Amino acid sequence: MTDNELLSLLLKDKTREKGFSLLVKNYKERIYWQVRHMVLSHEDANDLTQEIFIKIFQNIDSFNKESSLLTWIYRISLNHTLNFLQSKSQRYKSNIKSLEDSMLDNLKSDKYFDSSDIELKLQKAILSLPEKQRMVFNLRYYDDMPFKEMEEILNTTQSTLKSTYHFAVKKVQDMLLDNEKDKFSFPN
Amino acid sequence: MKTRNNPFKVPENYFDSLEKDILSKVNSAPKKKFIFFEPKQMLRYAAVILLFLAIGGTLWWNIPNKANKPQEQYAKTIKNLHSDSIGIISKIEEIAQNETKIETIANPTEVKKQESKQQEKELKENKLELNENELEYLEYYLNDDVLTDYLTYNDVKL
Repeated sequence: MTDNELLSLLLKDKTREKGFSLLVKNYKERIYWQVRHMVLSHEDANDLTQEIFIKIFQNIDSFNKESSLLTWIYRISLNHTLNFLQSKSQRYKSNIKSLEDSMLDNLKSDKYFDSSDIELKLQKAILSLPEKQRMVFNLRYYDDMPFKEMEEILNTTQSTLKSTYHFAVKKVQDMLLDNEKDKFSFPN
Repeated sequence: MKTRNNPFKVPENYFDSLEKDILSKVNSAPKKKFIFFEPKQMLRYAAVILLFLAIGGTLWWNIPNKANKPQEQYAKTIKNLHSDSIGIISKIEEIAQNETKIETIANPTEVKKQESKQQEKELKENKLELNENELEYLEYYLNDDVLTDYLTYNDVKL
């Protein structure tokens, strides 16, 4: 089913629920993984994914069709995730431990994470990136998202996104040892 | 060998349960509707309006009055001084009149002199005084009808 067909179902009262059920089926995994790579914890990612879909359902009438449905959904998802991280980091301001350190500690004991040393090192390196740089890196590295699609979602030029990504890759690689770098394939 | 594995895992059948959870939450959550005046917003607007009215009212009733008070006091003082001075002047005039009355009663010849002076003054005001040359000149034209008419029209008494 195309996005336009899905949208026509969502915009009619009679078919809204059916349309939404299809939308969840289509996008639940993409949204979950996008959120999970940012927040790292499964519990947080689960809560946020549900909140994002509820937000999509409540605001579907305000979708103005200027962008694709996927772009609009991704925008909601990324904004919601960034807001969550920002409010969480505010709570950590008075703590000795930073949010990133706490996230890393939780990851070590997370049963839904392959806590090998090399993967932990990679996550540590990714967490050292600023939020927006981390977002660009994750979308490219984990989701293989083309820069053109990213341009629409993040409303930033492709050249800026490319340089942001390459700068992020350089930073991550610098944090890994030479023999560790070879174990990861960073797309261009 | 280079890999790009996803080190993150999810519980078994997680995505099936996620879908169910989302749909059940969406069905129980009320759909966001556009309400022009939400009760909470109404209260906020009302509070803001009342605050402005309170500040505006306070400014309106207090600040201009305070600013006018010295002016009003000044105006009152001037008015009182003015009325006092009028009273004093009228009293002085009254005293002066009484003094002249006393003088005239005490000296009757002085009264006569004053009366004659007054009469002379009245005559001078009503009469046209002409010297001899002017009179001759006028007499020369006395028979002239135009002059007679002019003198009559202008009520000139010779």
